[in-house]
Amino acid sequence: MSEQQREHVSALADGELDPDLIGPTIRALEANADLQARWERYGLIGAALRGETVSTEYRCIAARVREQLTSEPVPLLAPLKAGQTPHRGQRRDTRPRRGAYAGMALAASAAFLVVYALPPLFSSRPATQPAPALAQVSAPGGTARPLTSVVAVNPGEAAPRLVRLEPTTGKGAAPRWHAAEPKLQPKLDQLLLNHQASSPTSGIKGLFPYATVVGYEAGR
Amino acid sequence: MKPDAESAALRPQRLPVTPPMRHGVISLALLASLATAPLTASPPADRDPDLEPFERMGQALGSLSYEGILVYSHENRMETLRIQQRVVDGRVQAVLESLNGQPRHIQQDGPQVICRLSGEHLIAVAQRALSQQTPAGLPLKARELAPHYLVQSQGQTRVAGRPTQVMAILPGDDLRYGYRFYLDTATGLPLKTDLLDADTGIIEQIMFTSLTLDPADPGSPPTAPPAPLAPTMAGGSRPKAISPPAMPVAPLEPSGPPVIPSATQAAGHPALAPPGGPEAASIPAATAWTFQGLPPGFLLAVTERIPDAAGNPMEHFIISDGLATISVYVESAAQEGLNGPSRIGAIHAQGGKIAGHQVTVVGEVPARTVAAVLSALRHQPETGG
Repeated sequence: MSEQQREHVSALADGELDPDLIGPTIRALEANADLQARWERYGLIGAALRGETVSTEYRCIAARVREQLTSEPVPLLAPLKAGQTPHRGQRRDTRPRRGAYAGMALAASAAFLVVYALPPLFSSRPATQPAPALAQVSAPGGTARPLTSVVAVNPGEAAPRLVRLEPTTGKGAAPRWHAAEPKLQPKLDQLLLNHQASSPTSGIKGLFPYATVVGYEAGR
Repeated sequence: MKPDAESAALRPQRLPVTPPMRHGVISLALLASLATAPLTASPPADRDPDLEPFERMGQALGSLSYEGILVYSHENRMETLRIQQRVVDGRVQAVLESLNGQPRHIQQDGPQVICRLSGEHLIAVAQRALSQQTPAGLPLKARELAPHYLVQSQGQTRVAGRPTQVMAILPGDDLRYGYRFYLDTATGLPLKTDLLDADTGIIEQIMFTSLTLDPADPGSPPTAPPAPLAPTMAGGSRPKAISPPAMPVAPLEPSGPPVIPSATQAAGHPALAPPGGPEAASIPAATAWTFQGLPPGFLLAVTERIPDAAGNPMEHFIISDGLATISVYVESAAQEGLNGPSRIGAIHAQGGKIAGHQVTVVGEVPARTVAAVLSALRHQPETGG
């Protein structure tokens, strides 16, 4: 493991690696257990710096991702038909390697998602709920799914489970009123607004009455 | 909680009024205030110097043109808000909008307030000029606050790069909140405000991080974020206007001088007309509701009958201790309503069915206080309603 490789892994973790170096770096990751451990540490350090819950369940994610990918191969390139001429610049002997790159790219993407995108989801789950252990972001054929939709597999769970990361805006936003039926919330908002508009002391409370109405979003 | 003998009296309460204070106090806070009120009211004989900074704050909120960025801290979260206010010829035009999460804003143009809280959900309410309609309603007088609050000067500090005077109204018990204001020395604007609990712990905070006074073009009205200000909701229905009924939402026409309807008194309570004038008011000839055993210091300040979102009559009571206010809404049990407690930030609500009516209590007070107010409501059908 060279210093340059370590720098490349660090840049990959930060999303700042030159695209031309992603392939070689992923190859190096695939072949070097020390680099894999460093990759995992980078993820854990990032999570710790962000104050996110770090669970030992998430260790060795990359190895588990690879294992899962091995058991569920993804056809990324259509096989050439008999007699079919490869495209210009495409050599038959490169296809297995490309498949490996793509597989590792998937693994890296999945590890990225697990380490960087999912912690908020993980940390907000109930303590009794097992943690998802695998995430997949690319659909067969290389079509990326929206980042708000991931597939997660729980240990011991036979089938993948869809976990949806709701956006913070739109219909999926958290309720404004705690412990109130969603259909009642517009009514409660109306009663509150009317209260504040008619309260003889709203003004003396400075900015609070309306800051709460406009700024407050429960559970976000 | 022991009932307060004073509140148990159930007599109509008229909170004392300090005229200059009234202008600031009634102002729609940030979105502030009825700037239609003159700022040169003559000082009353019993003016309390301890409360002058608050008077000045109220005047500043209702008279200054400014814009700025605010941070609102609650429950370990931080939201960013933008405020723009222009006051032209005494008419306040203001927009307060959230810059985080779901787009929300409140827009005020004179007496009209439109609130967009989620998607196409618009709420229109009329700002009540209670201070200009009745001598009952206005608070902040030292002797009114004294039993339950302590007004305290807490020195000076800097906020948003500007020197401020720190003034606090500290609660005497856990039935109400306190406030600590960091008032701009030059203008009186509250550059920072802490919402305090009984132990003076900070529950919520709001603070300017940037402030521009008298923006370059004070004559141009603040611009709300892109939003369907036309009164349409999902499904094409009109926004639900609580009061007055079918209140026009757009365009916003200049308002005339405030109408001062004659308040009537019925069943022992002062009755107020909504700001649309006497013709828009449905003044209850009598109410079948009374309060027995209100939390200490809280008194019935206002009784009125207003239309609910569907146009059905709804009785509205305002309970106040001189600073904290609580609204009690009583409507037909056929209306869907809150059953149990709820809250949004430090604002609490509690609902339930009483004597075949849906009752909802909401106010900027702790949960136990709204629960106590709900428990104090009594139905006396022989009295009226």
